[in-house]
Amino acid sequence: MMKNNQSFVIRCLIAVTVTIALGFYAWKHLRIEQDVVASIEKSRPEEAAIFHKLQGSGFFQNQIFIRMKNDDPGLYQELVKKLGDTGYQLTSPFEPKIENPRELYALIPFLPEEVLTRLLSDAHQEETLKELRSLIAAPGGIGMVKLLKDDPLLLSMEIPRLIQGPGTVSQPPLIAKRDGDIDWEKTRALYAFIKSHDRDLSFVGGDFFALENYDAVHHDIMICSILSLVLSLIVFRYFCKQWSLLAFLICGTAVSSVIGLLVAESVDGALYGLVLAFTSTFVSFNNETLVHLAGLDLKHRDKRPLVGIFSALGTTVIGFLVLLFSSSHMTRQLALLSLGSLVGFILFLLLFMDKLKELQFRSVNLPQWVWNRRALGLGFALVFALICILPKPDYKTNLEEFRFATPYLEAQTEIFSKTVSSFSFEAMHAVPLKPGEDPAIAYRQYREQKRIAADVFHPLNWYRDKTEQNLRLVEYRNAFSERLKRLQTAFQNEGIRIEWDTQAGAWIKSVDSVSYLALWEKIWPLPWYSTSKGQYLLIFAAPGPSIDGAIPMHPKAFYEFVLSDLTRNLGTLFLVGLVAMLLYLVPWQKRWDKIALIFLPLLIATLGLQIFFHLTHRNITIVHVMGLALVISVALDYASILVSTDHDPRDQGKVVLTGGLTLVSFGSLLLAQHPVLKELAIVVFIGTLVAFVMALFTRMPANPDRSDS
Amino acid sequence: MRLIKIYSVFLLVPLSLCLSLMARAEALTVEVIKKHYRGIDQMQGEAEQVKTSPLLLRPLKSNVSLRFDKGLLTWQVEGQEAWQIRFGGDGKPVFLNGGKTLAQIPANARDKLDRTVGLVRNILTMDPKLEKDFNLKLDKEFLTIVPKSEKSGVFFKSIGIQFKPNADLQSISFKTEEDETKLVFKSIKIKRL
Repeated sequence: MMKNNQSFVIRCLIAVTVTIALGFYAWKHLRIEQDVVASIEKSRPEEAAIFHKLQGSGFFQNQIFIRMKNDDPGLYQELVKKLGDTGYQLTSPFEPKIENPRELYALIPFLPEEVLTRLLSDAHQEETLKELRSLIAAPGGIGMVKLLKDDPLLLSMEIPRLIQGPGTVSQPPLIAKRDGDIDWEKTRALYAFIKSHDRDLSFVGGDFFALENYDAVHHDIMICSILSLVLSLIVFRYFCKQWSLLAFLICGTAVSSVIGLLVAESVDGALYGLVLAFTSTFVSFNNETLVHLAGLDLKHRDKRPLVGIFSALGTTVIGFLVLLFSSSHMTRQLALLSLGSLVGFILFLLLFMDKLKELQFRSVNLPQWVWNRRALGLGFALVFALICILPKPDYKTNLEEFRFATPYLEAQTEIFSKTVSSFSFEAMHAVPLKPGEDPAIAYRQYREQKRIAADVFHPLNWYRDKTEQNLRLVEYRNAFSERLKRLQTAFQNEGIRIEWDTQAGAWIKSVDSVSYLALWEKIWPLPWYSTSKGQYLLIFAAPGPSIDGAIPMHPKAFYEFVLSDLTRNLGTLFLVGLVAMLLYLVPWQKRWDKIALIFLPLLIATLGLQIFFHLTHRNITIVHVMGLALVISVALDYASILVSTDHDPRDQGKVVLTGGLTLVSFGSLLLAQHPVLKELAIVVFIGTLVAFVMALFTRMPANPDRSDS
Repeated sequence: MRLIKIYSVFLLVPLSLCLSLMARAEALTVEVIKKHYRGIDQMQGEAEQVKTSPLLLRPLKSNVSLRFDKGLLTWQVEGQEAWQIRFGGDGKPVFLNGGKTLAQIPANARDKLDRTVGLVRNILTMDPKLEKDFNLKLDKEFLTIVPKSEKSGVFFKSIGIQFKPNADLQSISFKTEEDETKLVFKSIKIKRL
């Protein structure tokens, strides 16, 4: 007894020392990567490169868009002050970036007829003179003359007006950009100020969503954690009164977390913050492993509990192994961390097997419906057929489902989007062109096929081929030269010294479509054309089926595209994983009916979720797929253990304990405000509940060979 | 005796006038100017504006009316639409007209314009913030305001203000890279509420 205690103390000391040492090493070398977005992009690197090249870096990030309904200088001033106090500065990304306005004269042959006629008219000349007289009188106003030297028709002022006019793109709103990190309290005060003036302002801003999410997550952490803890302790106390089990769980989780971190770090170097947050779920996984290994006598002649444990652990390991083939870097890291952690936890438990053997659980003998083999085969086939036949939800991830927003903020976003309806970036796509294909010809073809949004500005709407350009040049050359001469005389009459080369050829030349788009890149903040990874052209797509190979350029659409793709990828991996699990179970279970009964709870849970998704009009998002991974793990776990041990009352008790703990943990999350937590909870709770009930209340006929222990 | 009294009156009047003028002339310091203008609520002036620049064939002359009324500055060149600018508590200007033209001004230039216009208000009210970014130097009745550094973010190189002995404005001259604009005041009225 004394010897045993000494050995236990020595093992404890070894475990604690090794864990602290490894933990210290892991912590010292831990590098956390917070950019989850970058991780999502890594699954589609080429598309991400095009997205960043054409979309412009972070145009929508850290920005608030505000539209004032009426011109109210007092409110404007107050708003600017509040924005400044919160760390935002007003910015003008729509400002034409024209270094030399003289370059704009290459656009003369492309301007609409009525615009060109007006620019070359006496009325426009008079307007220019009026503007000049007004500005020139102010101190420094002579700078206007410098501008006129390179821009006699004031095209640098005219063209932005043209592209922001009706039928093109509406007047841009006020845009405030944040520098530095978000200050939650100041942002809360700014949000309150803007809300109090919502009769005069409409607004949209990612930071307000971030603020509401921040508050929702804090609420969820408080409420759900407390509820989950209280309920878990009640379940634990009822089914296993030995607190040493809890001590094993806590210490083992510390060991498993450290080993998991070391494995993931040694492979990847830096860990994603979100993956690190995932380590909190190790308690759940470890709880399952611990409960099944506890009370186990390895020397006992009945080896069926061992078969159950190997079946359960093996399927869990396969579930993580297939994730190593995911296209998402973060998912691969998550799988590595989980595998490392599982190995670490088992190593820890092996060290204390003698103590674990002494642990006892409350036995539970529940009534079971007994399958006969034929009914089981038919039931399995029927459920499988129903899963295949019934309509399946779409694999589509909407970013809205990843964030929490109050109805007020949703309504404001809706109001804002209506006020700037033509400010539509959601239709923006980069379409691939064939090698050497002229962008203007490709664009014309898309327009003829009605794949281009008709009411949104695009420079190629104005493009004319070189023959047409030359014809126009001939037509307007004299009018242009004549206008320059008249303007020069008029300015000289005003006392302004200005001299131009009045030959049209010095100003206007024909250009090809690529140079034409390059010129527009200097005016409009979007790069219209890229050749960095193949030829891509930016277009505003018409509603309807998407163009083959088109990459969405709106950040929301782009990330939804990548996440939906990732969801499909994970779905496929899980299918492969399920086949691998099935093959793995063959040598352990040996009989098809046992394997069918192990998979049946999972199939019924999947069918239940499929019906639930259909009735509630939900898409399958990446959150649901991750939730399904947990359902696969627990469903196969419960069924493997119970089928292997012929529903031994002691194992029924263990499954009730572990299943009960999983259900109370995810059941508490059903109260969460944040949609990610809530959706995860819905899938895991429904899936686990169905699998739990099926595994506990249905069984194979009793095995006459079974020896009671 | 009566004669002495008459002489003394004749002597005293010009003497007191001279002393008074001397006292006034000596009193024109930056502090006096600050005291004269600080905290004014209303000002109205009429001036002749003369602009010169190598880009002009001849000096441009025009009549300008300048009005400052409780934070609202109106600058009107004869025959042109008036520019109206409101200043808030923080001294930042809000243009009440000319929105279309201003919208075309690039952000960095607009910032410069805002700072320049804000400075005009600070000069008119001798705001204490003025000395933070600018050097004020008084030579007789000429006050020169020069940015302390090139990064002060204003359009002009210097502003010269000529005062009358009683500290009233006589002229203001703005020098920029491109031009020099001089306002010679014909009349000026200031009022404190």
